[in-house]
Amino acid sequence: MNKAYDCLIIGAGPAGLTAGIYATRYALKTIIIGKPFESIITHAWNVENYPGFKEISGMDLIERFKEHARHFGVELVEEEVVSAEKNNEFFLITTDANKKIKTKTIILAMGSVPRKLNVPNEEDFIGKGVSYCATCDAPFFKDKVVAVVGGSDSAVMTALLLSQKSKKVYILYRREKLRAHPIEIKKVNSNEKIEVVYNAQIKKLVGRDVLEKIELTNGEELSVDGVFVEIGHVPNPVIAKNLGVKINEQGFIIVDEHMRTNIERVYSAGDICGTKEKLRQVITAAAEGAKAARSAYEDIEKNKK
Amino acid sequence: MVRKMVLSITSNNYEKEVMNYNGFVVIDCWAPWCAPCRMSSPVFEELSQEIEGIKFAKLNVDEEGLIAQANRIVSIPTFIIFKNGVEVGRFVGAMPKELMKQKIMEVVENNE
Repeated sequence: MNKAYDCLIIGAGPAGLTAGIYATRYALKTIIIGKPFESIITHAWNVENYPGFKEISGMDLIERFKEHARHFGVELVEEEVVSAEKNNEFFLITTDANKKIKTKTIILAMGSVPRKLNVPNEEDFIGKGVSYCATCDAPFFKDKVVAVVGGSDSAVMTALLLSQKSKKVYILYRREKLRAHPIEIKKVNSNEKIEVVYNAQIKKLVGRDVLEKIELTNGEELSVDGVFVEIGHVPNPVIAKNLGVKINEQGFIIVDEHMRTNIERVYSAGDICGTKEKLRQVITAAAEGAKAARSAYEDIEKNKK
Repeated sequence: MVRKMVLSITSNNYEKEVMNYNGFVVIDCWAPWCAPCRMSSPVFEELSQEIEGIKFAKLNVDEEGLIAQANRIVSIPTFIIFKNGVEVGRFVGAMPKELMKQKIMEVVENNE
């Protein structure tokens, strides 16, 4: 086996790639394992709140992060980590291509995956009207009627994207007031194609070959061709559990203010860690990546003495 | 070893390569704007080198909208498996290589 890395980062979204940039600049021998295009940020068709870019697509933004990390010599391995274990003063990581990598520190930045609707026949309609990626699938719903489920920024942005080509867009939200940024809500209110339905929850998806209508829990029915699910994300902390890292009730990794976990020389950053209520944005993920890299650097220096 | 190419389907060769083809064809329906497609296309290409006896093809749904429509594609990536010009299965979304292989082989074995 080759020489150990100082810092191994799992996940190649905004948190992981920023951690990579910082770690390399701390002169740590750094490797990132993950797929930038897997990051949930690639689902954002337009990011308008990352400083330096008045507007940029999530896909272009992550491409810039990747280029930036590469520029400083970060090694990026586009594989998946299947296991992680502690082996004396090192950790041993195995990837799905059966690559084994030794490292002194680990930063867990695996992000999260879209939450599903959780209605009984949801799986039957995937690819037949139910979508979790509006940037991928919006063009297929030109002149059609669609519904977006959720009330967050991403739900509202998705509705605005769909309104460019679709005939009619419903926003279905289970509460009484959208929780997106006021500036986005204003755009929704002045958009004639968008109708917000409050206190709405889907009970059932109906259709023979493809989605035709939805039934709401209040008994109402809406004829729609597509449903875009934007009800947040869930973390996937399996690797963290392998390492004995503590997670909270919602499955997020517990960290201190310097992004340290309960396990020495294991850190976490981005969507996968922190409280459920924490602000989850590109800028906060990047900031946490930077902090995690600095903690890794400090702990490695401390051990040298 | 000569690398097999993943065939690009267009309105010019769809009839010949898919509808009138005797045997199995699996098509990766993708578009340049779709991030999950960028993950799954290299996986699909790798499988095309490993699996014998099946034709691997890809369809750019942006350039070939009519074929996409005819196949009722509303999510990408969608993978459609044809046998003798008739659809025998499809699945949707990016996934690890082993799972994609399993999904293709399942449809093929059930229709042999």
